[in-house]
Amino acid sequence: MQGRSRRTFGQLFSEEGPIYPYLYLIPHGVFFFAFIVYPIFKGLYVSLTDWDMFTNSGTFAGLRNYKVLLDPSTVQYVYYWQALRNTLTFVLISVPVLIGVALGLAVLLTGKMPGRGVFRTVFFMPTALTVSVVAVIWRWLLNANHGYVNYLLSKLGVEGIAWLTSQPWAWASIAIATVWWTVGWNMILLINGINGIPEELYEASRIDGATSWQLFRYMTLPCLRPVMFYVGITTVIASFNLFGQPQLMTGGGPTRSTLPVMLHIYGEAWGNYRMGTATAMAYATALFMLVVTAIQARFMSGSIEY
Amino acid sequence: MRSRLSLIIGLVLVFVLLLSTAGYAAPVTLDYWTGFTGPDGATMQKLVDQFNQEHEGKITVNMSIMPWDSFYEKIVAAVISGKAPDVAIMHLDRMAEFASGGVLLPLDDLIGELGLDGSDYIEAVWSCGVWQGKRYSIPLDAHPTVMYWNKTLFEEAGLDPESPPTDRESFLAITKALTKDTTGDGKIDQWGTMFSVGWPNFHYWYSLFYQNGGVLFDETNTKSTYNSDAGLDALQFFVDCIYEHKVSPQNVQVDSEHEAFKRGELGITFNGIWMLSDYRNQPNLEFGAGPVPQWGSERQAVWAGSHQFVLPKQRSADAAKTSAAVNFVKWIGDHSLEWGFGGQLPAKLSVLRGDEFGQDPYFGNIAKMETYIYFPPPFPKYGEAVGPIWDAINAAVLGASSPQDALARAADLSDKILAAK
Repeated sequence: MQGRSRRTFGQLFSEEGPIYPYLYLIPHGVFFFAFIVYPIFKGLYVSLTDWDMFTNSGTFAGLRNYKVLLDPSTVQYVYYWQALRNTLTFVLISVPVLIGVALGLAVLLTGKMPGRGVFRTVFFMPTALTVSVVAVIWRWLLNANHGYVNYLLSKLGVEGIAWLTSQPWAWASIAIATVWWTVGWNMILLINGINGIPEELYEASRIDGATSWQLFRYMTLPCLRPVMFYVGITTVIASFNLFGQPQLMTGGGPTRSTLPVMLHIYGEAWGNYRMGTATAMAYATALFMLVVTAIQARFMSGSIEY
Repeated sequence: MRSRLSLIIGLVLVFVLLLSTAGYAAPVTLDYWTGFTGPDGATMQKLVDQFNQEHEGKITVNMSIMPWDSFYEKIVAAVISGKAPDVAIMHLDRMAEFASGGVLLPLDDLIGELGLDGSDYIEAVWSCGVWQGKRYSIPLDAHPTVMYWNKTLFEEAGLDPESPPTDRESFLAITKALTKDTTGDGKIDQWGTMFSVGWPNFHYWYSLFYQNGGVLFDETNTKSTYNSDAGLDALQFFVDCIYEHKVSPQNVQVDSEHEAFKRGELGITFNGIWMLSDYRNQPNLEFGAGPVPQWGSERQAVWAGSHQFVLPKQRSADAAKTSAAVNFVKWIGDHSLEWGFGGQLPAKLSVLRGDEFGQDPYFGNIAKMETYIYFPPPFPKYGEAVGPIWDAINAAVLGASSPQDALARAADLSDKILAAK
């Protein structure tokens, strides 16, 4: 009797048993639940309470923290929506450039030009830097009074642009630094995409007399659609998560105009210790990003057949 | 048989341990957290080492240094998880936040025991360690805003390098004389002064605002009172220096005034006392350091910050550790001369007014401001409630809004912050 049940128990965990594959998933599962699933639900719970950092507890407050975000008489309302608008501005400025420049570089560096390996490495290299290094480099370069960029511009007769302290230059500075820093990722992805397009398609088109612009417009671009879909969505999400560049380059200034929503949420949580409203802002923003991504997916998805 | 043997050995061990602890007072180890990541960290470590040496076998202090930002985050987590340091340094304007969260130990009884007396300290930094009738912090230092002036440029402009500006008129006259085009290309390349967009321009405004007799918030801290003649005049003055008198350039990026002064291209700059050693280490920079001019009309005043000792609450109170911690705080205060020379005004008057500090050509001059350092009474939302003023100053200094509009908008935001629960 005992022997038989032990055998079944053993079988359960044997290589053919139903549990066996899941054993391999346990290490990942532990981290997945501890660092992703649990925080998501804990955060949601915190957003429904008036959480006190110092006692690490809170009483249930219903949707009060969310209502605060819709009540114009609160400071949270003023600051949150301003910060969300700032982030949206950055998404609108940066995403087209981040994809456009990456695409341009990818097309150039898949052509038959000498030394393209060197250039690929050079353009990709900044992605290895941390945001603090990137911010320090660009703060120096863009210093209004003694920066290298303004020095070069003065040779061309353009005087004293206040890059980091006035608009629209502050946004331009952050966008330039971001493009310089991250465009290499998108470039590599698009290079792989272009290399994956069958050469016969180009040959056939060339025989039909297609110009290089036509090749790009009617062959490369449509064939890149799956890669573009991925690049588009990840770039939008990355731009939504803007944090370190304004924190270190402009400090959110001038007058909060480059203070992105993520930095504001961080300040609400760790500067003002209001975890309830901070998490409510985080979930409202996440919902917003979800909607944007869903819309994007609807317009950009669709399979491609060679 | 074997189990009985191990039982006997175990009992003997326990007995020996009991004897050894009963015989001697156990040495106390204190965890000490600070945010001194600069050269000030090395100075403090030296003091801690000396303290440990003098108290060998009795008290050992282990200092941990972390950047201020993460310090204020970590200390919350540490208190919650029962791993709070025994003693820590906080900025005076953050103390009330933590006291109101119930994470700091009230110190009134301990102070009496140790014979610490408020009259031994700079009055302003001592009296602001009290929140809602209880003392939560003991001052280490005060760090006021200081005027630095380039003596070489003074001489070149025909000014007396030993008589820096003291009021509004002399400030404008001197900065005008210092503002010039030295290369003859029609562009001004040497400025009288520089008012930055951002840090630390709030300190300038604050100094002038209090000189004008202003008060930031009402007595119950429920309403802002800075959108007043005193506040407006203060803001207008800095805007006028840039656009009307043209003694400061526009759009001064944070820290570029500091760099320009080090390069010797700036006549007068205002920054914390903590910048002094940086300027002293700059070769070929002949400069003076002293009190901020009295730009205002009512009283002498200057902005300052202050590092204060606090004792975070422990999950289980340990009287031996607490009294060791207060002993440590007292000892550091008595030995804060070197700390002061690192770029601070020692809060302890016996050190501050002692010959060694007072006769230093730089510190002695700066220390004159000691009697009129002004702190608002601490309350938990102070930092958040002055936030809109920083934005208002930047908007006005950039010319993005008029001083009136900027200050009115800020006051509205501050009121919203103060009205919230």
